Amino acid sequence: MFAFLGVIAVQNADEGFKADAEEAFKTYSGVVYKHAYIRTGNTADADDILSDVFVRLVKNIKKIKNEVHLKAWLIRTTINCSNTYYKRSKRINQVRLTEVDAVTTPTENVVLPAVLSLPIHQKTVVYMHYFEGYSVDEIATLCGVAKGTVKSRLARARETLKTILEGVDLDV
Amino acid sequence: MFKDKFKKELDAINPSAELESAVLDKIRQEKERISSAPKISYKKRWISAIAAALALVIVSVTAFNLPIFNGSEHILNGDISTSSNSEDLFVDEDLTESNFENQDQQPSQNAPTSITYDAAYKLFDKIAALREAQKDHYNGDNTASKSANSDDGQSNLTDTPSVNDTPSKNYTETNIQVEGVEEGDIVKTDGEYIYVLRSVVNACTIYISKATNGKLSKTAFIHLYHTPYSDLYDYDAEIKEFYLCSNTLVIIISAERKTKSFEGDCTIAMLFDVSNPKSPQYIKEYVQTGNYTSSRLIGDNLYLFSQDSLYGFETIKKPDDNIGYTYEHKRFWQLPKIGVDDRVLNDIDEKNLYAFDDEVNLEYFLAVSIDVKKRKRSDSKAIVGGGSNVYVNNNAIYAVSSEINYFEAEKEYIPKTYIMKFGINKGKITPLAKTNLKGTVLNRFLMDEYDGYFRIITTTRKYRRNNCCAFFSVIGIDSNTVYVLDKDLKTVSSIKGIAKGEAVTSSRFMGEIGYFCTSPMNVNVDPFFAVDFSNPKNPKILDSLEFPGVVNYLHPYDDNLMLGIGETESGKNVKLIMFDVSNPKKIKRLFTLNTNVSCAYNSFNVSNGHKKINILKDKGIICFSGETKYNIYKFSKQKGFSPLEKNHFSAKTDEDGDIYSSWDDSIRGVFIDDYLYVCNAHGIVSYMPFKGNKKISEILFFNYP
Repeated sequence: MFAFLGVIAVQNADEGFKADAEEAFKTYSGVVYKHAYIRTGNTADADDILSDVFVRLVKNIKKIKNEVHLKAWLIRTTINCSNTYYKRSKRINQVRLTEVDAVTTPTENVVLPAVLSLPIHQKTVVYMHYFEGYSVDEIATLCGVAKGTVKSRLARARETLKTILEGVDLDV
Repeated sequence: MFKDKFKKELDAINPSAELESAVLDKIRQEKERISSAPKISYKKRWISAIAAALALVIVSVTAFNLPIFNGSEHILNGDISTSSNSEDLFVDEDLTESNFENQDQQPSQNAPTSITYDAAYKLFDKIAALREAQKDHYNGDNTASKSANSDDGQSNLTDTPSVNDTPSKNYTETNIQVEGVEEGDIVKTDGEYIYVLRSVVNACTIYISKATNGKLSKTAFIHLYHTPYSDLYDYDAEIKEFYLCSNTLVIIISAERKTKSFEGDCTIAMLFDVSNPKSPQYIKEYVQTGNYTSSRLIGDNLYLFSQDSLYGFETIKKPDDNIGYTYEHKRFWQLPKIGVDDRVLNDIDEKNLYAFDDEVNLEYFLAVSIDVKKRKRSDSKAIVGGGSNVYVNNNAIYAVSSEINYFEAEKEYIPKTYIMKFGINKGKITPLAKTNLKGTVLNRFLMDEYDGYFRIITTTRKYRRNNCCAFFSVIGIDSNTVYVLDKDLKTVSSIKGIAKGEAVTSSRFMGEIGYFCTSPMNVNVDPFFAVDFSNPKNPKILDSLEFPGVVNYLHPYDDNLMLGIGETESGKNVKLIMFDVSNPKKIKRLFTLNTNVSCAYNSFNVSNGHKKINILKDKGIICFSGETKYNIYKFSKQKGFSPLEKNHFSAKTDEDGDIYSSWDDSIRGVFIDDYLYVCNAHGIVSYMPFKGNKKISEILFFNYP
């Protein structure tokens, strides 16, 4: 992962490129939000993660070398933020909410709930492959796992989706 | 086809305009803050971003712990009206017979009852039904009756606040709250070897390095993913902290564990034999379910606490005529489980499962004691109820949790603090009593037990639900209350309405006198209070003293002096204050020093903040970690504070400027003889602090050993 970011940064360092967090937000808020939503499964958490990610971006803005690096950085940071958010929020636990209204997907959706029901690694891979259009190689470097792992996650996700979405025309 | 549908459906998921403008505002604020902040190494700023983000989401934290079930049915339906089975009160014979030499550990009438699995399930159903039906059930007044109990509370409890200087040892130990009760940390030393934790996602490692007169040499390392059962952990398993005890390294791990029988959060104590630090030997690991709360080490007994919700969710697919399929979340009860070295975790034994009849929390708190020397689990007790903040002394555990009622919070809401007490005796844990108080508790230093009475300071904050997002905002601070509770956790006395509009920032108890500081929101002016608890039925505020700045940590320097470490008035730098408390009726501010150390990344009142501080009275120095440096200040009773000639000692920085280097970039300083070792997640640097700040030796953990 680090190597990937580093390689992009060095190879394609755009002369005079200066990332701006506000501009980045306008362009990529949707990408981050969707990714966070896929990983957490509800909009309330995605709200928080969106804000976390861009606060981090403000602090690291000088390290962003070019547009590709910016997007990769945002995707990776969204993964990190959703992990820590999920883990740490459970542990700190100083003030607990008693109940939370389920912010669920609109009911007319068919595919999205099925994707959301997948394990977290598979969801991410499905999102990155089908929505963002990343190749297996790119996903592997972004997630910091081997190519084979991405492939197997993708294959398992497809298998599950096929069983869940039986009856719906699927060309996964 | 799938791709198109997926894209179409996901395209509809977008941040609301409200949220977008809120985040944009935040980005602008953050930009402004950074441009106005003092220049600090750019590499480390992202860590503070996490801290800031965490602080922001702290209120919203447990959206995860909570039921997300609309119209779901209970899988385990019990008779809702049946109360829990309370016939087997204290069936554990070991406890009733032999382990109550201490008068204080007799179960009170308030004590919880041990319950059977059936009774437990019924109780859970009952609580769930109660919560559904009466959402305002526990928003009433303090149920702890105010009884003037005539019990003298005779006991031999004489816990004194710890003063972290042991003349017999030539090395420093972790700064702790109660003498004799060890706390885990990310750096420990035995005087010869230094153990440093690098807690990075995917690469949690403990590095062992030999330190001889400032010379450092690589010795060995323990990688979490090289341990025998690491295949069961989720990829982001984390080592939280560790202990060093009887040649054994006790590593506390928080991980998601996945086996055929169980999948969920676990807390693990892993034992390594380090009698030969060159080759640490894996011994065994003790697994318990739940999220890691805290741990303590008393003698050879490790007490490990975890908590989790009592239910899990199962997603069930249901056919639907109109849209093909719908998904339903079904709740199922899960009891706390424990296991040793095994892939199978078993439900905790019935006789170790307790509940209070009037419990309202759908959570469990699991307390396990492990004898590190004999390498066996001595006791495990699970109780229905939450405990996110823990105070432990030599005789008792107080587990404290607070809760916001989501529905009540539509208007102003003041959360409550739930307290559970356990007796401990040589590894045996006995649930004793519980109560609830108004307000929330900041940290463990706001709690203390002395002479059988438990003192606690709570702050009543008003919360309101934020309409655009699912978290709460603090809309104001009401005031603070000091409570004195007896051994059955009955309120003996209280002082209400202290420092209206201000919140407690730090506290410390020295025997009969308790000291605490309060500060209003966003204003760095801090009154310092002294409260006399010599008559527990009638505590009195003896004196208060106002001074500029905020104190985040109080430390008894000696019997007459109280050291305060906090922030300057501007909130930018760390401030040191020495109070004269020889006469609590007339507190004096003796010395003050505004240091040039930025406090932007230093908070000493968070859960592990006190471990950043070392006070070495024999050397006359006060040390604390900054963002990238370890700082030393001299103190003498005549001259007050003064910086050492060279007083900032840099820690090792990551040469690659790797932004994902580690979560916890905290620095710790360790003294062995007169040598200072500054440790962080990247490496160790050694200095002779009394002879300048020239590096003697350094090691980088990369490519180790």
